[in-house]
Amino acid sequence: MNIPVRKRLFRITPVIGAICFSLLLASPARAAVLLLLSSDAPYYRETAEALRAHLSPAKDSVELATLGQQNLPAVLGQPHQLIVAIGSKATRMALDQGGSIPLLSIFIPKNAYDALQIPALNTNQRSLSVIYLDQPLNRVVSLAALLEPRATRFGTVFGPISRESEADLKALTNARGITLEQAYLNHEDNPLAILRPLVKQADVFIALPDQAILNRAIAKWILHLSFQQKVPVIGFSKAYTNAGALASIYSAPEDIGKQAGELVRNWLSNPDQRGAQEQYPKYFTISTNPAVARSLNINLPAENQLYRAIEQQEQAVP
Amino acid sequence: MIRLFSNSIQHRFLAVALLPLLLITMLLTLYTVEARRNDLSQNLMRLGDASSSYLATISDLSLYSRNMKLLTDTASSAMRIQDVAGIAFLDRDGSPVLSTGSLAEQLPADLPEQHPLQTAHFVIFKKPVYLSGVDFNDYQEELAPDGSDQELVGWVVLALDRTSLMKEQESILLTSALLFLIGMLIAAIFTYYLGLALISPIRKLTETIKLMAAGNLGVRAETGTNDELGILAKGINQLAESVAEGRETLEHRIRLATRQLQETLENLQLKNQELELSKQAAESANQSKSDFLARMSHELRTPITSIQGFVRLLDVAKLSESDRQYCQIIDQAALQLLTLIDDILAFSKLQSNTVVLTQQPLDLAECVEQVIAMFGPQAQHKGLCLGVDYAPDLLLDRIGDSIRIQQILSNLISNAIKFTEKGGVFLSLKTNDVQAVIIEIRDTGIGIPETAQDQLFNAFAQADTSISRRFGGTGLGLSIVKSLVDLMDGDIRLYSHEGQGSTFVIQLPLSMALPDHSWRLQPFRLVISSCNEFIDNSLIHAMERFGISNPALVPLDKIADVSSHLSQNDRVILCVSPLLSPGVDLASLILKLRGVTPAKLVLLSTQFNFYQQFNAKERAALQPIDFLALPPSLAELHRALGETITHQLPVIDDFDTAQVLDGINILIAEDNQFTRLLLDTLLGRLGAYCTLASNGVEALAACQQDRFDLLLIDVHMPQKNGIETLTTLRRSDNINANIPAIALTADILQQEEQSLFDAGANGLLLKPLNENQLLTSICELLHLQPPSNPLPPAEVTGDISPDLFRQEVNELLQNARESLARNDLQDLRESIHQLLGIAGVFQLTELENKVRRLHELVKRERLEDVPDLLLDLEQDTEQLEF
Repeated sequence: MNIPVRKRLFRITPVIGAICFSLLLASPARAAVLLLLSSDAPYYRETAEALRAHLSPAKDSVELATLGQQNLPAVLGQPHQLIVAIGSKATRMALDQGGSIPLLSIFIPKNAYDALQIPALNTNQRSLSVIYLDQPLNRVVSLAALLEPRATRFGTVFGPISRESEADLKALTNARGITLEQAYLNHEDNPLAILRPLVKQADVFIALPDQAILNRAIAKWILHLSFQQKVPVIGFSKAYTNAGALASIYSAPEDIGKQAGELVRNWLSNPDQRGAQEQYPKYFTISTNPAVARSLNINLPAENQLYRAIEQQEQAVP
Repeated sequence: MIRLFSNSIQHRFLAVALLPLLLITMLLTLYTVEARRNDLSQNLMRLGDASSSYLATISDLSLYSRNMKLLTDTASSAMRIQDVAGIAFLDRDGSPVLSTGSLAEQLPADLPEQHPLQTAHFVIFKKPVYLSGVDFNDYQEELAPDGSDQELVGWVVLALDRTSLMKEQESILLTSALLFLIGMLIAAIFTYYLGLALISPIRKLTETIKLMAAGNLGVRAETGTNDELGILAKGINQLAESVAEGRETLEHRIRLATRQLQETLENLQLKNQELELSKQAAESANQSKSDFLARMSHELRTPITSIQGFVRLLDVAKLSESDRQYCQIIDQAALQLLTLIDDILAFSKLQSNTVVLTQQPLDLAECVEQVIAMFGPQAQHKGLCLGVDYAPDLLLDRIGDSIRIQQILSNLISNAIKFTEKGGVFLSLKTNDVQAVIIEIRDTGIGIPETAQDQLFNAFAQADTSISRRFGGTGLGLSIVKSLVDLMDGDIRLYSHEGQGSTFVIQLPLSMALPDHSWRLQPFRLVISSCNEFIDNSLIHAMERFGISNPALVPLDKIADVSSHLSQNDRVILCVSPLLSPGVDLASLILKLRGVTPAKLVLLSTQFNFYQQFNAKERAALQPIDFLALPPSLAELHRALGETITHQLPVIDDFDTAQVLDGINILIAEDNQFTRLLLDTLLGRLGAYCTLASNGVEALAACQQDRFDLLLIDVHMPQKNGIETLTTLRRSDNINANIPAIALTADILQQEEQSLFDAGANGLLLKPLNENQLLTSICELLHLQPPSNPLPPAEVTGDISPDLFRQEVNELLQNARESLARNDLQDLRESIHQLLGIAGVFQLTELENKVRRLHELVKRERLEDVPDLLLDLEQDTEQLEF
């Protein structure tokens, strides 16, 4: 569900006020949850606010901290019941701080979380859970199939990081009777030389996030070549949709915050159900670009129709 | 520009109006041209910057993928932009990938990226080409790609042609200049006509004023308008009317004044004529007075000369004592009268400004010493000490009129001696600078009361009328001195107190002459004893001049002791005057002194015959010794000290006044035989040997044959007169060329006197001759001691018969008549001149007076009375009795 940001802000303003009020009242007493933000970036704040909005203001006291603030070590040293680290940097900080307070890491790409090498950190006595930022691949394949039902060949390019998903993606496409045309792109490669034939072979091009290789130019060329070949591109962010992808599927800060809020609320209410969990985003957002759809002569369904269709497909599959 | 400002008001107006306009327009034009040129340049730069940036943006993909077709298309489309002359794409390393246009021909290396490169014809821009991309990430911190997001793929180079820019800039410049010139031309024309309209009325006014200034006061200015110029014109018209009225009044007044002035002038002319007549009368009277004075002085001198002559003719030996005294009184009275007349004559000459100073080299010492020698006997007679002191630094060789200086000194010394009864008269000569000589004459006489000092230099004034009675004198002496000092641009001052003596200080500007000898002497030891402080000092100063240092001054009683240490090379100066050392046996002292020292003795004495106190044996014993007068002549002292032998001792046993010229060889050149005879007789009696010549030619011939000590020469002589003869002699190499010469004349003109001295005369004596004066002059010139007593009367005329005299006179009168008939004034003058000489010889007063009248008439060329007077003289001669 793609809700305009201003509208969302308008909606959550009373909630923020209530949080601030409760924080004021609870400040002398010990807070139950510490929300540790990686930075002051709006999407971390929005995530924190969505999380807080799904807690019980009366029972669940929340303390907010941001990396870089002066009294951070003192704040981290307090005996909270739970620390929620929002973003990769906050997660690393919380882990580096050590201790036994349970840690929930949210808004973090899976490859970034894997790169933390948790087992090596010897955190056996600590309860660690995570909600990834990445969408499950089936959701992306579903969206592509919904938008181009007649497509028989999906094309995608893997970088050093996204190559881990190759097998899963191939399995998912094959399950739908779709051939996956894939290519591999490394730093030393000429992206045009690799992308141009790949795009030509595909009916839909799925762009996967890969911090190692995917940059603004390659993103542009994917769009450029796809447009030349009249191939729609399925992206992974609202920005990519705006840049020229036909549609993108991703989790907005509210989506992650909501999922985390529900989890925290449940944990606070039932401490015995606490356990280490790894979750993909439960809630998600779809954005479409009608102009691109018109250019590609694609009949573009409404975003909520697509959302519901994917939701139904996910509910149907156990 | 300056001419514009200086010419007229119109030009000034033009300049004032146009200059600021020109300046402002020029500034504006310059500003506009510059601004437009800048705009064009900036536009070109902006175009280049924008185009190259655009090309960099759009060519990233084609450059990255080396899509030459796309690059070529891009370049071709960009080349269509105005002024784009060339495009080049370079790879990341700067190697050309594609070049078009001007850059295809030549691509500059090392192009700067920051700013464009400007060449003569192009501006070249270089921009980096980065790969462009799209934003695809919602969460930058979580999904941002590793590494740089901006990758350099190459460069784009764009060249813009500046030719059109430059052409456009030139066009702007030309257009602006043209517009400026046209604008200025229009402004100048407009200003000119505007100025003309404004200035035209002013010019008319100016013309009107010029006419008025030229005197045309009837002209009027136009008063058509009521503006400032109209008011000015009215004002000028009113002014012209006022001036015209004023001028008319003034002219009337001037006419009146002119008439009055003319009358006054006529009166003045009349007065001037009267004044001129009065002046002529006064001058005539003055001339008559001068003539009268001259005549009278002569008339006075003649009887006095007669008196003296007759007194001297008396046989003194046959007279009783009282008669001798009467004769002496008569002689002295006559002498005083002569002095008085000389004073009056001198004063008269000075008053009539007929005295002309000569400028001859002179020896100050000699000049002073001649005067001192003249007054020596007089001072000695009164028992007074005479002293002269020359300051050692005083240069004695000067240029001036020695006769007049001596005249001044004579008067002052004469006065000093006259008014001093005891003590002495002392002269000091010094200098306060190089040119001026200060002569101080101090006496120890009666002094002058302060009340009388102011009037002292006035003519006829004496300090006390009783003085005239007591001491005699005309009272002209100091007046003559003052006039002479003034004539020499000098100064005279008097310092005196009654009873304490007087001091006259004269300052004379006498320029220096080249010294003709050195005063330095070989060094020797010297002892001085004088018994007088002034003489001591004067001797010390003289020694300083001679280069003799530290002489010993000792009292008289110690001199023998002190001198005993001296050798024969040393000197002793001893003043042996009874005046200074009364009661001392000086002769014994000198003999004693000689006994103890071999040094040369130099004795100074006021008694010129001091040596008569020693007999021949004693004088022989005294040698080496010199007897000098006191005060000594500086030259004599120098000589005496310079020699270690006895110079000359007079033959005292044969000494006689009459033999004072013994052995002196004199040449007498005189045309008149009577005068010749007189001189021959007189000088022969004094011991001289005379050679006679009747004219200059004979005199010169005699000079060729014999050596003479002295020449007495008449001024007026036939064939060759005295002046010519002297000139010839002095210029010749004859042995007598430098002998002293005394000129004789009955009368002489001022300029004649000058030429006589110029010719080389050393003295001048007027006829009738005074024997004593003649002898004094001869002694001075020959450095002989003059006799202390006056000469006895000469009986020269006894040798000449009356008939011979008459014959001579008649011959001369006959010559005069013949000369008059021929109108030969020269001959006439010569004859009368000789007559005058003869008359003087025989002391024939009446005859002499008539001859003098005759002489005056001829001198003044009033010849009408001459024949009668000649006849008269002839009759007188016939009746003459001896």
